[in-house]
Amino acid sequence: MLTVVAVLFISTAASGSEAIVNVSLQRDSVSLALLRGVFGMRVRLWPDGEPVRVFVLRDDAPEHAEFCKGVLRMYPYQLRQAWDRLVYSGTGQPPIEVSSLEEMRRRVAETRGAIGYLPSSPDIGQNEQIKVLHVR
Amino acid sequence: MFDKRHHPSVWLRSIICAVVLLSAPQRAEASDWQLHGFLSQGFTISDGNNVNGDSSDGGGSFDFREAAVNLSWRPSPRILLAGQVASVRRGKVNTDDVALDYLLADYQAYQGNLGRVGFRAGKLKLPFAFFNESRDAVHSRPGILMPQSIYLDNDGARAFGYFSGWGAAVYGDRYYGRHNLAFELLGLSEFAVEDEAEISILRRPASGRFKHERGLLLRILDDIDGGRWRLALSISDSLLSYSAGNAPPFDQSGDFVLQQAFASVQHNREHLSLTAEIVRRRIKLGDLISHPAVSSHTDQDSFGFYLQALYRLPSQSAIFLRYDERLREMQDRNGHRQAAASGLPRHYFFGRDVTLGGNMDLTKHLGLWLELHLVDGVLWVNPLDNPDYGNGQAERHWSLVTAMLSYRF
Repeated sequence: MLTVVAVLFISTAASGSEAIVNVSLQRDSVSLALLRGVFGMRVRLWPDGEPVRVFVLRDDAPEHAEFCKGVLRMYPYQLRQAWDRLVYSGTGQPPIEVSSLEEMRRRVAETRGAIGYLPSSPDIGQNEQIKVLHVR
Repeated sequence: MFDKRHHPSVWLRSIICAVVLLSAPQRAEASDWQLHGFLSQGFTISDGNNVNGDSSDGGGSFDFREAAVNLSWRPSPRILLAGQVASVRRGKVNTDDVALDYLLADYQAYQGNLGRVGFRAGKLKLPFAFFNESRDAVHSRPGILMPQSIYLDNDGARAFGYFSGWGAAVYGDRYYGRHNLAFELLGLSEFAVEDEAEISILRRPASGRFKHERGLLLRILDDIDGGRWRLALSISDSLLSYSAGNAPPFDQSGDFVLQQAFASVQHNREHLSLTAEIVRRRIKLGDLISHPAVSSHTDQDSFGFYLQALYRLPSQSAIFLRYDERLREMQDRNGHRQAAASGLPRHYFFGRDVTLGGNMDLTKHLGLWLELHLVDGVLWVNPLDNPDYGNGQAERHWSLVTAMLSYRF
């Protein structure tokens, strides 16, 4: 019984997703409303003045859906609709699409003001150029 | 190449030039430039009345094409410059000239933890209801043919400046608990209305010319829980002028007013989206006096709404069901009074459209759309594609099937 509980606990902890940012960012946490604004591409600069650069995986990537649902509490189609509205009205740009989690990690690490996401893992903090952005 | 009748005022041009010159690139990256666009080809086959070309002559019509390319550049974090050119052919309603769709400079003046404020100037897309600013592309609007009640597709909306106009806007967001309240307030300057639109609006050729003098538009939008619920209110007030010829519909020149109010609500779940939008439009003719031969041109108080349920299926596809209703006179739902006054059949004064549609992404860039429309009434049947429209010959009950293949990048 204890083993089952332990396995359940571990598998729950191992799933999930975290927002990650470049260490240049002055903050460690963000409100859900501001985070939705950032991934909705409505926030062009962080309140501390750094330019926002958003990296995402393809719409149909499981890690993208996991982040949308688990962290933003939205669905991938809602973000895509928001980006399309910006593109076809000239009022914004869609995020930069990367092709793998490895590229996500690398691009966020080397770009000031960058934000992306990774599956939850103790390894996230091993790269000194990225940090987890907690949702308040 | 561009539509030469759209004249931005000099100060708008100056603002755009100043912003471009002052926005020296800082930490520019390749990703600060973005190029997007689409190319769509439609097919329409119908019985009774024509839509998008000669769709009812048996073989259907391929006379519906839409293409646009847009370029945007972020020279510094606060500034965005963007422009789009579009070419649209819809039967005789829109010719396929290349036209400037939008061209703007956008400055985000303030960004804090609780919201933002910014300004835009140039040729701006008109942000009313849920879909007007993104209606160009089939994948960012509700179907091949939009709900005619709100979006006036088949009336030649593009030609009468319903898509975009020269002006300036202030916009902002305010985060408020579960709410993201967004507003846009837009002032529009003058532009000429194209010939195709005159016929669409009046249902007959005009002997004089229409011009949009100035307008004001406000939209307030509330995204609740990241868009699980979306509520919007949009209002607009435009002053138009008419320079009379010496024939119908109007005997003398004058100004008139178009006022519109829209309410929109949407509920989004993982697989299901429910959307409803409603509009009331008032045209006050003011000092415009109808020619004696035309008795039906009086003030108008028109009304429309639609309800749509969309269900997302696996593999990037969806189906939807929609009911759309548009009335020329709000107080004359079945057209009896207007029929008596004009001598036209009463089905000329309403349009009720039941639509079953679906779409599927074939690849990341290529999508296919398909719709069946069952229509009662001919209020939004366009006289340009239907030469017999003016003599009361348009059929009351009619249907159409339309398909569209669209490539986007």
